[in-house]
Amino acid sequence: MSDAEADQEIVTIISTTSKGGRSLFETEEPVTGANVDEYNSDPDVTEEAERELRELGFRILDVGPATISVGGSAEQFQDVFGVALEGKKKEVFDGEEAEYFDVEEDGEEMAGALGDWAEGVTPVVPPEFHTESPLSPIAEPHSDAYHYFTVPDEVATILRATRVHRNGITGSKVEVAMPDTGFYEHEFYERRGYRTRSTILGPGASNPSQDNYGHGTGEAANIFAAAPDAQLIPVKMGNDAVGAFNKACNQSPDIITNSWGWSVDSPGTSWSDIRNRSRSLYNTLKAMEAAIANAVNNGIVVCFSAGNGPGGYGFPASHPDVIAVGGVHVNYPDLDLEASSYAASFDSSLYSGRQVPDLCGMVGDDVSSLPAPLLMLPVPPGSRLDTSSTGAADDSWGLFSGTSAAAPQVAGVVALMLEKNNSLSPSDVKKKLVNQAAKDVTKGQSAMGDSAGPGDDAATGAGMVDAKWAWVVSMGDTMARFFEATPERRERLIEEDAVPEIDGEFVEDMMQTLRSRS
Amino acid sequence: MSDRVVAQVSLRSAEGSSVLDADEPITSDNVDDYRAGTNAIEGAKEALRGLGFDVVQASEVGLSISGDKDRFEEVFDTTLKARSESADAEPGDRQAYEATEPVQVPDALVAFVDEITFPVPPEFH
Repeated sequence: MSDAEADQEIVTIISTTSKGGRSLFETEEPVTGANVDEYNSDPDVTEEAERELRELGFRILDVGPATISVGGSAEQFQDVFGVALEGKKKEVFDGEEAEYFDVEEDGEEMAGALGDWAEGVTPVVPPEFHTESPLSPIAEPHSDAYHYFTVPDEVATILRATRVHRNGITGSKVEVAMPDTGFYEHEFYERRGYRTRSTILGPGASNPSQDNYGHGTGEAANIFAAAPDAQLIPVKMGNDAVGAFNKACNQSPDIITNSWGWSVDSPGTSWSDIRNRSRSLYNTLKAMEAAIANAVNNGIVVCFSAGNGPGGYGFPASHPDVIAVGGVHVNYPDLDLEASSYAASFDSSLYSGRQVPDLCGMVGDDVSSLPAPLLMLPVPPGSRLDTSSTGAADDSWGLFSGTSAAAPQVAGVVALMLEKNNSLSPSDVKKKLVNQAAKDVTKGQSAMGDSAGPGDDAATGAGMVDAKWAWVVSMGDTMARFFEATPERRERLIEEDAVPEIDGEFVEDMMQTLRSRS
Repeated sequence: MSDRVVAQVSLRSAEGSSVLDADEPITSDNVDDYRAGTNAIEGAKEALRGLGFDVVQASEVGLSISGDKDRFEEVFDTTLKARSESADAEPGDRQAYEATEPVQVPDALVAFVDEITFPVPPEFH
């Protein structure tokens, strides 16, 4: 046995002497509700066993009616039971092994070393984990955390997408590609019946069913919160982001959402500065620039996250053809909106006159030691974001929401727009979002210290994306004329039955919204 | 067998202009000026395959190729080393390399290829 194994706590289950006189470890009959009491112990026996085990130096981990679980070192185990332990391994998740210890000897004979209160001893054998939970945890995940929101329902509510969904607009037949760290088929996606294609490998990527980081798996949930019937095309990125983006383009999706970039568009930086710093970086970025331009020319809407923190001057968010998505923090319980102190905002130095962001999605605030903990997202069990982000480790959920979360939210809203009107060009989509489908955010400061205020501002661009308005302004020319008309003219158009047939309750709700805005 | 490496190949455009030497931002308004013709794309693919590389992705301005590290070093007369920052991105799955000496485009590729780049991975936000 190695030193590390000798130091490890070994968990053992003791079967305390049963009322029926037969050991739980020896019986061959099924133990059910009908007979379990025969295998339970008298409380006095359990109490004695607990006391004796403590005196033998074991740590009591659990006391049940039929068994007691204890922890102790291999040395203690050998001293008390006189048997050597053997380290073993078994697969508990797909590709994940757990270590445990086993003995050759019979558990009943080992129990003889204890006393009349024990009739069997066994080291535990770990179970296999068949599934992770499709529901997010409810426990408070971290002492520094604030109220977090869950996918899909709470995010859909904040984005004002739920009413659009009830009108039958859910992103159906719209394809959203997402180059990222990979996509693991988490129960969250399967149980809800979300449409996900098999993962496509980008250049240099391998293991299509794995996402060791967890970023892609988690952030994809934001798409479905806004557009539950969109089809996700996951692209696992290797070390060639341009190649992965082009792989996504080759699938001819309607939208490509990207939650990554290079923090290079800092104040005063020129392309020649980047070239002088690193020819490889310059070449990579120029190839990316051309790839984006080609995608947009092919009618694909491209969303990029703006970047995180005070150094997050993200390219390609600043590319003029993309929708640059920044962050708005949502306070609980009043759902008050303010610029996220974690989200980037900047005037591009690489593209004259270009300001980032165009508009925003939900992003956490900057909290010391926590990565903007606003959203609880599904991640592969044991992935980096499962074990490093807040929340219990290995529970397959992580609490993280930088601008990486905001870009796929906006992509989901775009899917709703394209379902309603698939003739919209990438430039039409961007104009409608920025000019007509964002809720103004008037307070808070971005990571760069830009302040939000009435109207467009540097911190949040046009403001928080609003799925309901995005849908409304995508309803084609007639409806566009309707919503561009004065309130009085709109009412006349409805009376004259001059607008496309839509749900009456929805029109009433829209009219109330319009009046409240005026 | 040595490690697998991925590189981007910038193609010469039909107009003679290069994405890498552009003085203007490349956007949807002007990207057509930088497109390589079909002959250049197919010629580059064939030549690269002849040199022992796999063409894993092709677009109208460039290709992604993969091959053994040793093969890259031999064909492009350079030395590759692992980028330290990539180790933090996703260990074991996204190892990126950089050339420690300028990359030389061999004669067999000069007619089609502008430059070979070992890409710099992005950050995830």
